[in-house]
Amino acid sequence: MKKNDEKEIIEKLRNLETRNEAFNELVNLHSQKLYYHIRRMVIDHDDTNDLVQDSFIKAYTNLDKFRFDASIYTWLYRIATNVCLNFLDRKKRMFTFSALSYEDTLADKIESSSYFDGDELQKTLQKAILKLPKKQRLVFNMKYYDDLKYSEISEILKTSVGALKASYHHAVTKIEKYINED
Amino acid sequence: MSYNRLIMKNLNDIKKQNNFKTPDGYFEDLNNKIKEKIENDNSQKNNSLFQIFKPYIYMAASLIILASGIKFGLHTFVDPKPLLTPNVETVANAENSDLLYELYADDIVFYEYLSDPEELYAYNDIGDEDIEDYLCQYYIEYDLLNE
Repeated sequence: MKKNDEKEIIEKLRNLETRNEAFNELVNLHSQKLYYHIRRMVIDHDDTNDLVQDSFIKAYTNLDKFRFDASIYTWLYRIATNVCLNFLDRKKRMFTFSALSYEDTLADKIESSSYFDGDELQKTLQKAILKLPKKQRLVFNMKYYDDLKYSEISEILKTSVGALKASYHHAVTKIEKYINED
Repeated sequence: MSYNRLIMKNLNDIKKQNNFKTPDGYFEDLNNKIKEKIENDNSQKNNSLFQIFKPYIYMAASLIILASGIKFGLHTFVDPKPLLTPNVETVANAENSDLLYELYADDIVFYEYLSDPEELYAYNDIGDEDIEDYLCQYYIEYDLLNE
C-alpha cells in the first residue's frame, strides 16, 4: 500500500463519519494478505476464515487504541498474529493428552486437503515448517513468504532485528536439514 | 538418497509459491462477511447501551406514571375550591349563622367561657369531697397527697 493511500485511510479512520467507509477499504486492501499470513500458521481453511474475521473485528473494536501515527498495516498484522498465536495455544492445550500432536494433524491436512495443491517437495517444505517452534515459524513465514523487512517484523512481533535474523537463520537451517533427510 | 535430496541443496532451490487455495469467490464473500459483522457489532453496541440504562429508564418512566396518576387523582376527586375560607369577607357576607357557628364553635364556647365571671370563679366552689372523688377516680393515693 502506498504511503499516501495509508495516510488517507488513517485520516478517514479518525473521523467517525468516514470511519466505516475507511475500514471497508482496509478490509479490501489487507484481507488477502492477512488470510495467507494466518493460513500458513493454522493450515486449515475454515479455521483461517474464522480467525481472519476475528482479527478484523478486533481491529475495528479497538480502533480507538490505535496510535494514528503508526502503520495501520503493521498494526493489523500484529492483531492477526496475536489472534493466531492464541488459537494455536488453545489447540495445543486440547491435544495435551492426545497421542498425536496438533502439528501432526496439520501435517495430515496438508496431505489430504483439497485446498492445498503443491507437489511432494512443497508438501515436504510445509511439513518442515510445521516442525519449527511457532514463533520461529512466524518469523520464517513473514520473511520468506510475505517478504516483510526485518524492521517491520520487529515492529509486529516486538522483537529485536538481531534476534529475528538469528531466528530466521535457524529456521532455514532446520528446514533444509528436514528436507534433505526426508 | 531421497527424492528431495536429488533436486535440492538449500531452500533457494525450492520455487517460492503459494500452494494454499481458497474456494472460488472466497475473498469477496470474506470482505462482505467482515462488513456485516462490523455492522452487527455496531447495532449490538447500541443495544448493550440500552441494556445498561434499562433499569434507570424503567425507574424514570414509572416515577413519571406515578406522578401523573397522583396529579390526575387529585384533580378528579378533590374539589380545588376549599369549603370556606375563614377570612373577614367570608364572615361578613355569611348569611347562614348555623354554618358560621359550626365553623367557629370551639372558639365561641371558649370566649363565652372567658366572658362569664361565674364560670371563671367556679373553681372556688370545689370542695374536699370533689377532690377526693377525683383522686379516687384516677387511683391517686390520698395519703401521699395529705403529707
